[in-house]
Amino acid sequence: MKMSKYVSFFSFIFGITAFMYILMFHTAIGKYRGDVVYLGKEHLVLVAISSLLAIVFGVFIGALLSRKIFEKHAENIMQIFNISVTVPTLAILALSMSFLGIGFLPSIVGLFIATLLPIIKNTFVGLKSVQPYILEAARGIGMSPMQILFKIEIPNALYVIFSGIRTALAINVGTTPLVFLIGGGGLGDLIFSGIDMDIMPMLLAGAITTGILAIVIDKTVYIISTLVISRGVMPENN
Amino acid sequence: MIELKNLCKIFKTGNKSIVAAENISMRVKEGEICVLLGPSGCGKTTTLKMINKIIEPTSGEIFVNGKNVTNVDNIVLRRKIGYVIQQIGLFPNLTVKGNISIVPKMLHWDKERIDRRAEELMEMISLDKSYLSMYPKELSGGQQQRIGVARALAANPPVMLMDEPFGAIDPINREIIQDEFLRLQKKIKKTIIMVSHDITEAIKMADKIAIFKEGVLQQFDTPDNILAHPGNSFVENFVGKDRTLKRLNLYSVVDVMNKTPFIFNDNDNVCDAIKIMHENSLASVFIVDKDKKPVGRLVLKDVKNLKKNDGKCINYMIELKSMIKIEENLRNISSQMYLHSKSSFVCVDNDDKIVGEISQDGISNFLNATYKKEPKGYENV
Amino acid sequence: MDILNFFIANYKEIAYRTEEHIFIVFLAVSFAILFGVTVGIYITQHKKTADVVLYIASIIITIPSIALFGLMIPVLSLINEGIGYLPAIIAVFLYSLLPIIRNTYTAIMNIDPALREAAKGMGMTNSQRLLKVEIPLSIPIIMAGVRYATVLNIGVTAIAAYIGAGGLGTFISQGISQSNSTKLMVGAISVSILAVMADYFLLFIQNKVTSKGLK
Repeated sequence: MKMSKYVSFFSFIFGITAFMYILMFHTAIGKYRGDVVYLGKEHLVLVAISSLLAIVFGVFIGALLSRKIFEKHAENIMQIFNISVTVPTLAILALSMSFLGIGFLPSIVGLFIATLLPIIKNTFVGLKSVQPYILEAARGIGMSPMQILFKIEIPNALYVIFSGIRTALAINVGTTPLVFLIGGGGLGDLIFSGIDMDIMPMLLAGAITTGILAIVIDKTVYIISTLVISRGVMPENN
Repeated sequence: MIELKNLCKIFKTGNKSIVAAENISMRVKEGEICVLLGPSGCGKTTTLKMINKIIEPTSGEIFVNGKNVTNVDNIVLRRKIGYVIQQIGLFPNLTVKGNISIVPKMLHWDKERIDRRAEELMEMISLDKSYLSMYPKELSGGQQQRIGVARALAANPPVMLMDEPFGAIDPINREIIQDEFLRLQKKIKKTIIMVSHDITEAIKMADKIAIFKEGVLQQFDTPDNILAHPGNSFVENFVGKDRTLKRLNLYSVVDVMNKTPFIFNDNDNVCDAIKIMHENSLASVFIVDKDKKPVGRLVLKDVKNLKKNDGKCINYMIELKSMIKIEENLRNISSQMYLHSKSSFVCVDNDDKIVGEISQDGISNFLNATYKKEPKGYENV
Repeated sequence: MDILNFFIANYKEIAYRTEEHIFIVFLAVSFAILFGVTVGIYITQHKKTADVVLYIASIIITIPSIALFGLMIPVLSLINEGIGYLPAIIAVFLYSLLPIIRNTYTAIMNIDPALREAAKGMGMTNSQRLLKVEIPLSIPIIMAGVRYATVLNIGVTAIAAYIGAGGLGTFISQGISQSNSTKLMVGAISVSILAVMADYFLLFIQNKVTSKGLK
């Protein structure tokens, strides 16, 4: 019981802070509205292109690795991916820049690579975790391998695939502000310039928009996932 | 009809090869249930799965309804064979309806026909239509199993393969579902091959039993012949020492009862009855009322000293405590005989009218008949 | 070759920056373990609080790190700590909370109820049960959370170079601003190596602290 008082105290502090930020954001937005809209669009384009590419490629590669022909090598390949996931995203962007220079392309490539791995991994794991007897039942009633993949395996792996997509998008959205550093534009411009020039409203306009955008995108993916995933494969507690 | 000719399966792992099925030949008639029976690793499942080529046979031929299917495309073949597995394998992402209409959909039935079929199937397995919109995880094990059967029956295949279909269900529900399935089979008359490791289940379900050991078919016969005349020591051990008792499950009262017992009306003179008992050396006779309903038993030793004109049967009879319905199986009857220490019972039809008598001797003679008729014994044990 | 030469020529600075990097992550993750495990255990007894805590933690981890730094700067500037170690440590601490709290919570919640009953049946008190049964059984999953948090935050700390927290990110930020691709590569490679090594080291620890019976 005592603890819940602490909880309400903290949520009070949390609320005050949030309110303060909203006030500051209101003033900041007033001043930087044009920049926020322009850079926000750039930001969204970066997120959209890189993550859509990553989803398409990630699901494709993950599905490919889960096929029988790759059975022997898939685990080793996944091991390499697992190591790659630990590489910090700033390092990925830096490496992308040192190979491709600055601008839009190295930004997209860097974001794409940072986003790709969790999707491949979860697609692979999700497809592999479909119970063998379900596949046997599918074969037994005369489904072709393609029908099994699209009508049984993918729909049943969708929950795991989507959690990969959600993680990947969180990484993507978290990394996108950094591409300003390698000339990719986006809302990172306001944040880094704000820090450099010590202009708080500018910094906040960038930081809060980025934060809100991240939360909105995350929730959007979640809502899409609840619409797309069959109720039959959703875990019980959700 | 399903016919297997010299079916072989050899698994190769490294440089070892394991013979999982060796020259299996058998023929299952249309509308029959054949149970493949044996301990685990005996090749029964391999044999079953070769029929729809989930396991590709190494050699041999398979005929379904007279047609050689050895070279038919796997997918085309499987759509014509119903398949039920132990884990049921309902697709979690699909509703009940999605699951049972998946094969009709692949066969491009029109929507109306699929809907109609779905409802028909639900009726067949006696589940309410409201289940159609539910997901597998929302169903109990028994319900899932029924849906599994419905999915296999969806496109009305002439032939069904079932791999331990009742294995995942608790014992009480298993009996219920087995009975239900047998009732359904009476209507749909599919040719069914079913894998089981449970001799009791096999006796209950099978028209024919095929017993396997280490990839070799040991005996293929009716349940009664398997129990009465095990072909070798392996089969004899497998069916168990109580195999004669197991045979009792296979028959019901109507197969065994004496259909023309001596009966007297309750108003008949008791001395006529005594005379008949003496003449036919009977220990007792049954007494019926005017509706032919049995009311009592007249026991010779109670009345043998009576003189002429001593009254009606009804005055000397012992009242009947229990009567037997003719569809009861012999095992239950034998159990009651021991329970009541009785050597015979009166048998009645559904209107409670007398139709016969069943006795311990009658059962023994019936079971013995097959041993006398075809002495098939074997040497070396 | 340039990169190797740079490593040899600047090994002292690289060592210093690595130390700085490890210091930030180690300090923040340690606090996060203390706080997160406590909260994680606490919320297993309070379902409603659990939902709120996990929700807030999941919101925090969604916010991009540079945005989180940005949000802290104005507040911390009030005590003249707007840039430097403090915002970096706080951010790393906050980011570590979700994986640690969530893993502690799920690990304890997922313990087989039969074990809990067995422990009760033996006459263990609540705290004995926690210390002797629930925590030892949960350690592998909690450690997995710690491992995830550490690797994630080695990356976050690299970004913290932009708010003057030092660490290996300094090479990357200087490399970018000076268009010095050697420096850039050195930063990227060394921070990646640090992350991979930390991952393996913690996996090793995780295996060490996992009871043999659980493997």
